[in-house]
Amino acid sequence: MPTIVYLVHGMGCGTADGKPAGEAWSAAPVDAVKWIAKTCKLATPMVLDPVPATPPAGSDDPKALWIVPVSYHSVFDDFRRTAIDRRAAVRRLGVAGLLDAQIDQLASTDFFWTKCLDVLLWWADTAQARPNATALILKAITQADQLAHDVPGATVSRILVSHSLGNAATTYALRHLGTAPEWGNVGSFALWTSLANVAPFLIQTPDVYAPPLLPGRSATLVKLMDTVHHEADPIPWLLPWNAWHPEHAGVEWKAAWMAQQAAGRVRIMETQKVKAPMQRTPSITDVHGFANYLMAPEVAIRLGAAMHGGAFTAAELATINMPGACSTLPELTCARTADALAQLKQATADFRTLLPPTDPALLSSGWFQRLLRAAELLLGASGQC
Amino acid sequence: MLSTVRWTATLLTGALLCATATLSGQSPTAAECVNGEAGLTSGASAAARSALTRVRWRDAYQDVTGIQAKAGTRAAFDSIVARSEVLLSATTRGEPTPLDSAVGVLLARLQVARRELAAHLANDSLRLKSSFDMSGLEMERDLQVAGRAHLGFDVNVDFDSVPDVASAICASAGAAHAYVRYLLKPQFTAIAKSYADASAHWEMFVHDGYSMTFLERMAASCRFGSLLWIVSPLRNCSNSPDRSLEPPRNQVVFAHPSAALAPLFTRDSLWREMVIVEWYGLMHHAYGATRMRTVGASVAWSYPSAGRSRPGVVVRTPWGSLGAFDRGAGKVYLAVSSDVLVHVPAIRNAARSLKVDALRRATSTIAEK
Repeated sequence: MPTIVYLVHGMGCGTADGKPAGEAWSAAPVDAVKWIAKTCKLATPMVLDPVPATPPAGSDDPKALWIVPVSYHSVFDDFRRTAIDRRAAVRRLGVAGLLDAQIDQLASTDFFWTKCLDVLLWWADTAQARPNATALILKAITQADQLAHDVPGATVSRILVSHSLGNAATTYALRHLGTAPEWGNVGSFALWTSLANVAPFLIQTPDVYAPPLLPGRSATLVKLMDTVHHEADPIPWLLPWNAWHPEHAGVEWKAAWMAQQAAGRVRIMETQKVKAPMQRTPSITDVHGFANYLMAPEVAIRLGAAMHGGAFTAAELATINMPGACSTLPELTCARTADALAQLKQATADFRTLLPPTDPALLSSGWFQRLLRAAELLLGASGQC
Repeated sequence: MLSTVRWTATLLTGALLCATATLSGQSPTAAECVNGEAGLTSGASAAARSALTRVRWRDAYQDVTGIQAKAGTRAAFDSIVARSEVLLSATTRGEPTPLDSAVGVLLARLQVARRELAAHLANDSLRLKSSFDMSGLEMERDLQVAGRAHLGFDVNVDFDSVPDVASAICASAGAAHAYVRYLLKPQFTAIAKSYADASAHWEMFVHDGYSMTFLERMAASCRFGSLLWIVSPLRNCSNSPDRSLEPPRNQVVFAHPSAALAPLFTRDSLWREMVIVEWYGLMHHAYGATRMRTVGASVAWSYPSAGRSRPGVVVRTPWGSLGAFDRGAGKVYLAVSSDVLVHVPAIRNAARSLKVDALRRATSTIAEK
């Protein structure tokens, strides 16, 4: 009491001009988590945004649920706000092999400027954007945790849910948190649900997989880990040979990760369909959407179980009927091309077939060009749908 | 009136009976237990029920922390261990159970924790070293099998076979773990404060301080190779996640534009707007609770809105920058940065506007010159 669900956003939560967006990025994912809690007959979650000075009323209930949206897009918005010449700014990022046409594409289309730029900045600007973002993430995580421990007699559980770029940012942040032995020894996350994970493309392999992020060990920060990709989302496959998977954990940690996968502590899931929370309309680009990932039945039931405290019994599962509940959610329909989603799925399957370069030195390069290509696929599908 | 009282009494009695049935009639679940709500079956003895309320952390919290206040940390932890032994004994009733092995592991880990705690405490004070590993006493969720949790990362605790014993294991481990987390609260507070401070310092650095231009950021991020070592000799090229999250305290500035005013005191105008570009300099930042202070010096060039651009030097003080620029014929003119004017309440907003406008024009101005 309470169980804290941290939601860490991905790319594209800012606006093209760096000014505040009309609706907070967290609105749809928070709706999704509330829907999961309701469907699983759990307590109504309290949303802590920002984290208040004192625990909200009812936090001493053992079933209490807190949702804490973790924002860091302001560090990219600052850049967007001051970038007068977008092309010149992108050139200065010093990305090897970036063609003029790609620079133009990034600078001239708001879809690319708001989404892809975040990833590029987080990766390239290790002097300001990355440490600033990491400090913001860890501030939110530790503040909410401290607040929960202000409840007398509290036992606190933590669940992390990160999306897209948020996986790289969270991986980096957890590794920093792991340098404080208190967190590994007494604090940890009961479950880390990573949606559309891009961390392996932006961070070196040992930093993605090495302890304290490896479940099933003493002093680990992560007890259980779910990694999820959508069958039609190209983003998790920027460099397919390096996509998040225990087999790609490197010589030192591969066997340990595979053992944890076999033991059920690490799970890889593929989701289908495109859904949105009630009163919202899904778009085809939501194959990469935070809320859509959360509302896939296999993700929702695992997250619900984690918030519940453990797996549901067969009787509870029958009552919850997650597949049935999911079927009542608004689902994507494409007016222009009925099978646009199927086409995107095929395009993503083709995108995944890229073979690794023969030169080992190039194994981790070219991800940004592939990100632009993936964004093109999504934008193209949007036009088709 | 009488019927209303009777009706209310009936309702209350019904509700009470209902609540009692919920507490005693259902089997305890793993989910409840990992959430700190361990329970017992209706068949559990009164001794077991009493022992559970003396172990379950949310019930025992006041009592245990009271013992700590009176007799010290070791005594409080010893009390948890002793209470756990009583609870385990009351739930197993001294008979073999399928969870004997888990009980044995729990008791062994409690003893190890007891010894570790004693070793980490200096003279029974509250200072606890952070290397005290309690992960073996943390209850882990099982998201695949209902009715099962894990003690630490390696011991299955099955709630379906002997639910009361499973609950006793879970509650005992949970109490020991929660107590150590309680003891480490000062350390956790310090960690949280360090991240909050880093975040606040970035806010000052980016919005109120010297900040970094994009060129400086990329140089400090080691994106320009060895040729630009000169741009950022203080850079940390490590991408290791354990590097400091604080903004720079010492900063080399390179091609850093800022807005400034040069006092004229002529009939036409009191001052002249200009952009100063500090080509190379060194700054030191000191971060306070709400403000940062910067001192340093740089070699600069002024680009006035009218007239020729001139070389000079800029001295940075905690209140803003002061520039001295060659005016030709052995004369100099002075300029103050717009930051200085921000300290004058009457023109604060105008100064901020000037700063933003001037910085927006900086790139094109320099290019034109």
